[in-house]
Amino acid sequence: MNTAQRIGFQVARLALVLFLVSILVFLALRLTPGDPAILLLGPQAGRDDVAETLAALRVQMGLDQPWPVQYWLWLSDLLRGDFGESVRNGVPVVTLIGAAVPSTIWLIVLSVLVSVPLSIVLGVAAAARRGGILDRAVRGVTTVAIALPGVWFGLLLIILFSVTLRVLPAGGYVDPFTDFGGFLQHMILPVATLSVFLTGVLTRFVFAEATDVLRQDYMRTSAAMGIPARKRLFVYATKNAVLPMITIVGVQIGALVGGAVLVEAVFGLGGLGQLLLSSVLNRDYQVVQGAVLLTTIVVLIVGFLADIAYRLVDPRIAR
Amino acid sequence: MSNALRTTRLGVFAALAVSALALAGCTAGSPTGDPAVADQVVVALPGDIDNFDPHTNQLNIYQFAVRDLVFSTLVKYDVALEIQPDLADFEVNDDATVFTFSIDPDAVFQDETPVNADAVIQSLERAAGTEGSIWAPRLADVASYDATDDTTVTITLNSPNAAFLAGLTDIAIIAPSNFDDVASAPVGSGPYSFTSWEPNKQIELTRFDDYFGEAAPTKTIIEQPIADQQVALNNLYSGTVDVMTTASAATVAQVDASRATVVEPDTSNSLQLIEYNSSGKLADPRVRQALAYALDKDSIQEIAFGGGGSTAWSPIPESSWAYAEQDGYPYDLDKAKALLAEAGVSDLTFDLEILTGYPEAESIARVWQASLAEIGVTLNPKVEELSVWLDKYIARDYDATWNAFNVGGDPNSFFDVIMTPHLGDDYPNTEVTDLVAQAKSVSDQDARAAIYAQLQEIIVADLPVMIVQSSPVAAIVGTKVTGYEINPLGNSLLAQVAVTK
Repeated sequence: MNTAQRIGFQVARLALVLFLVSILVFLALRLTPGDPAILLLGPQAGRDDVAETLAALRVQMGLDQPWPVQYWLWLSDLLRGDFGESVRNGVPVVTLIGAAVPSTIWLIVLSVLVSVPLSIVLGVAAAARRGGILDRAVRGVTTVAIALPGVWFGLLLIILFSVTLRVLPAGGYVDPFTDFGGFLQHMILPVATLSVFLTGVLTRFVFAEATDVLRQDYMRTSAAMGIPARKRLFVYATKNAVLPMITIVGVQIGALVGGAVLVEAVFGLGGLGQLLLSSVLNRDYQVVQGAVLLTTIVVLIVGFLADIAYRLVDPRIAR
Repeated sequence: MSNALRTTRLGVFAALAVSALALAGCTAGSPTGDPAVADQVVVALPGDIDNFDPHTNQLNIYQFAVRDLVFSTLVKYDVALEIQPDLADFEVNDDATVFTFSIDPDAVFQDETPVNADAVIQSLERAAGTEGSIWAPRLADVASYDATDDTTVTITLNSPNAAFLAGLTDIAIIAPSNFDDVASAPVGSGPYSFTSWEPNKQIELTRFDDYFGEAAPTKTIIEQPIADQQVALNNLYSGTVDVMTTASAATVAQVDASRATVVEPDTSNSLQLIEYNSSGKLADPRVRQALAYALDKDSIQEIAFGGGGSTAWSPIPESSWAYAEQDGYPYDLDKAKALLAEAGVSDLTFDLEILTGYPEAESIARVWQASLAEIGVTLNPKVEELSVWLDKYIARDYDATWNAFNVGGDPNSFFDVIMTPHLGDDYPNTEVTDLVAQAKSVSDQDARAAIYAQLQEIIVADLPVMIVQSSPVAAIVGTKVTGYEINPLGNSLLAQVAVTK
């Protein structure tokens, strides 16, 4: 398969996944109890003298049509690039998502930037001294890190650093281009919370890979050639152990987005996760559908890019 | 330590140092207005608001956080829930069928168009229309809206309605050009204009300098949704938040009086009640009375409401002119058992629907469940998210449900909002329906009070709904905050809020 065919195949696969996801999210929303029109009007929606208003609202929201028609209308708009509007306030879905996305992206990017170097150092160092204290400590701590419920840990951090010590804000998001210092201050705790899980996963992975690499024959050969231990460890072992990490991070992006949803709710960052949460609770169909699809697209593209990056970086893979 | 972490730490310290220096230069004084007052007040709300159309959004949080600041109404409640003129002085004829409003000639919308009779009538017709207004029932009986001159509106009703003015307090006057966009960018004639909404982050309102009424002292109001009260309180202490509009009894108990002030209204109109499906399992009024005898209100008051609020049985708040004290059902498990036996009921099991996010509701359920177990009744509490609870509530798909309701300044609001759906469905009671209509049609307050007294007696005797108690209402503000008030509905009055420097 040449490159053009490979790319074509990937695009086709992307389209198929998106189509399936669109049907899934559409159905999931409509099968769940809860009516967006009733939610908008509140408890008075049941009154006889409000029945006409309720019916008119449902027509306005497109809820009076049978499901296949609703799906078709949504899909045909989508294919033209129109993600629709929130049924609660008419704001275009793209506007709502665009406003929410920056804090989520910052959260994920910063968490990756913190977790990757940290996990490389910890994993390689632990692998270098197999059986030592560091080895056991790293394995123990990463197990806890992976199992730790992010929401609980985040709240704990708030209690410690915001309520008791009062050195960091308890939540909120500040635009980095307006106030970079405030932005960093507000991101420390959320990034710490999200990084815990990712660091745990990555460290164990690096540790396993590094252990494997250090056992290889070429490591003994390079030692025999007189290459110093430090260079062997930090250059050769690290490079080879880290290569597959590109793929791992690409795969973990999905889990990261899910984790970000929880962290955003705890810290009130007003990101994509909170938008999704409030839209689901309000049954704002268009926003949920649009946000889920866009997230799916991004996750798939990141995975796709990770795949390309891996092929570029690893000299062993034939082009 | 990895390079990435070290750089972040240094960056944070450097940035903090720079920010501190910058902030020091910022408090030099505001460019306009009273120099003794800060430019901005930050308000912590218990949740976000995503629908700004005053004709479809009936939530209390929307009302005080946006509607009452951005919009004017023809008449409004003051902090004691008395009706006062807002946009217009009013006159009512003797039998409450003709209402004449003289609009303030200085009143102007935030898009610079005048608030004249035509504009007011357009808004009223929109609110009365059935294409998308929750307030249509309040205007259903209007025979005509007349613009007798440019600043006078006369509303004529088909039949007398003494509660008509109270109903108008919720009907905001929207700028006619704004009808299509009001849900996302509202334009009214109130003291503050809507500037922006960042979902789940903040709402920004800016002082409207051409407001016809009393000028607002603060230039900008920022409202931030902070769901966790601990976090909000902490932000209040540290000064990033100035006002916390909603505080539970538990939060109020731990406030440090030297760092923050608790503000409470004289009374609370915020009722928590149980609504029954009176045509289902619990159709026999003796059964409902038995369940009432098994409600340990004193324990509930201690456990769920921190000892606050009032355990009165009447659906009308104690502060109301229409309040008539009812004996109710003093806690007595023996009487409860006797009534159940009399009704021939044994091994009764029923579900209680509860809305998530109300810890008092869950406490009420637990205390009640324990007492009921002692007389052989099984209560199954079911905590549900809003959409599920709402679906069941509207379809009356429940045995019993918890609900919370803020009774407006006019006692009719309880009967209109809570009782009308029951009267038309599971609790058809012509005597109640007639009395409610009669109380609306009579203008003399004493006569109305007598009718409401009868109604309260019937409701407490029959128990189609059972009042648990009124819940205490409180807000917390920073020590430098002035001009903040909260009314018995738990609605913050923010138009005059300021932070002294």
